[in-house]
Amino acid sequence: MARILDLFLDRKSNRVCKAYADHQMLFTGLELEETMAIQCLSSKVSGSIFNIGKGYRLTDDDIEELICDCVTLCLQKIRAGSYVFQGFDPATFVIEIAKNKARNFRRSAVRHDTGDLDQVGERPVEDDFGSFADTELLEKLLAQLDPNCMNLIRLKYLEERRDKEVIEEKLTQYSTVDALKNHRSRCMKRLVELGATASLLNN
Amino acid sequence: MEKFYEQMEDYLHGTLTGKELAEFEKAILSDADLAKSVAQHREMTQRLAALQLRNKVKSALNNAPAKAKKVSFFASRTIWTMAATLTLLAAAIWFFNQPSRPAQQIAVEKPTEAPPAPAPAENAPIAEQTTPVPDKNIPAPKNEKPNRQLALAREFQIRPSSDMVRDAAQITEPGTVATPAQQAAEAFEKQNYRRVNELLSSEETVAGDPTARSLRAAARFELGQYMAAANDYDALKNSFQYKYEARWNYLQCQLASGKDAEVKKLLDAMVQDPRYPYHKKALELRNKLSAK
Repeated sequence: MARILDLFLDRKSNRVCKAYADHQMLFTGLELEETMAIQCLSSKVSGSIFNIGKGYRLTDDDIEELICDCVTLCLQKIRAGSYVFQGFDPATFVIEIAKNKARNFRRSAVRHDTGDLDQVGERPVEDDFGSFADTELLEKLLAQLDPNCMNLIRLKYLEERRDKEVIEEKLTQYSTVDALKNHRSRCMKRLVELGATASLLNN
Repeated sequence: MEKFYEQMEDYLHGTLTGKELAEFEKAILSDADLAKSVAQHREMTQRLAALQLRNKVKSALNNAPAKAKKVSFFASRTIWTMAATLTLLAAAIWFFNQPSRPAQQIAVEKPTEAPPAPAPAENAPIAEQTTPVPDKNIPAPKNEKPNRQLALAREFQIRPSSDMVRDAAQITEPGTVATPAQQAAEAFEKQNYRRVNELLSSEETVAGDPTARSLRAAARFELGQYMAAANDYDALKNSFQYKYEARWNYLQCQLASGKDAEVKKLLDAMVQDPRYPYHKKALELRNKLSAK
């Protein structure tokens, strides 16, 4: 019965992946950061990552964050050019990331029963700035900025709005691009200081 | 030092040039504090980009047909097995409790019965076979407005004419190999938009070729990459051949992306300009958008 139901789940993921006939097409979709490609990838990996997460006694919520972490890291690596298509299913790559990350995922929350893991040693993933813990801390730091600064940084870096567009649509109090950039540089300086104080930055 | 902080963003984005770039780089070499600050700013910029990417993934997962959380729940074999057993049990009880109907009654009813639904194909996905038909009484989903905007954008988008596409696909000199732009036009004719996007992915290919850029924009629009398409239409706004279509389709991209303020501004400008070739269409679109 379970096999039949697994088949049903597979069909469900196939339905999401209908637009991506092969691994190459899925990879291209991920390169373009298409929503459908992200959904297809996550539907392919969620079952396996669920099992990996359960192996490390993670909660359902943690597993959901872990899936998000792994897919984000995969996209980051594609963006950076450190993961290029080699003919394999991108899902395999993401599952490998999950195996590595699950070990350290929210370790502080389960430290009481991971005594044996302390001997294994930390294996952080390089430049994994999109992890749940890091992005959660960064969001807290952003919230500490004054509303104007938060808005300036949000528009530029999170919504990717062009300065000209921001001025034209009057999304801030500034009427020139120079004034906008000038103030944003001060906001970034403040955010960097907060990041250094909170030990977020490696540099 | 303050001056360099103001230039930091341009430096990190690679837009600082000439004398200013030389001065900045010289200052980094001589000032350790500035060098450290540049490294910190670079890392912070990378972290913000990662946060933006994670938000994108999160949003995609939240809007997925089967949310990750639900998948993880349903991935549990035990729960599935229990649910299936209970369903089978309930179905068996229902089946065996059906009162047997007299044969005569069935014979009377038979002619008035609705024609049976066509049997699903053997290889049809199970999920498709069991998907119930949506009830018309169910209220419309909350995202009706963006869907409607998307539908309008697709309705009003001006697609490249088949003549133009055919001309672009034509190889001028016999015996020569088709260029990427010609291959893309051929793929466009076959509605293989993903292939078009792949063939014309490099900026160099479309830089001096407005027809190729126009095809790429249309393909990206078809693929739902509205912002990427908008960038291409924006680049075509001064093209002699495509400027009117580009301006119009740029508006459709904004509409499909749900940028209401931008749509209103662009549409108002088009409506106020009676010489604009798509003036009538603009009026029609505005009426449709304002209709509830």
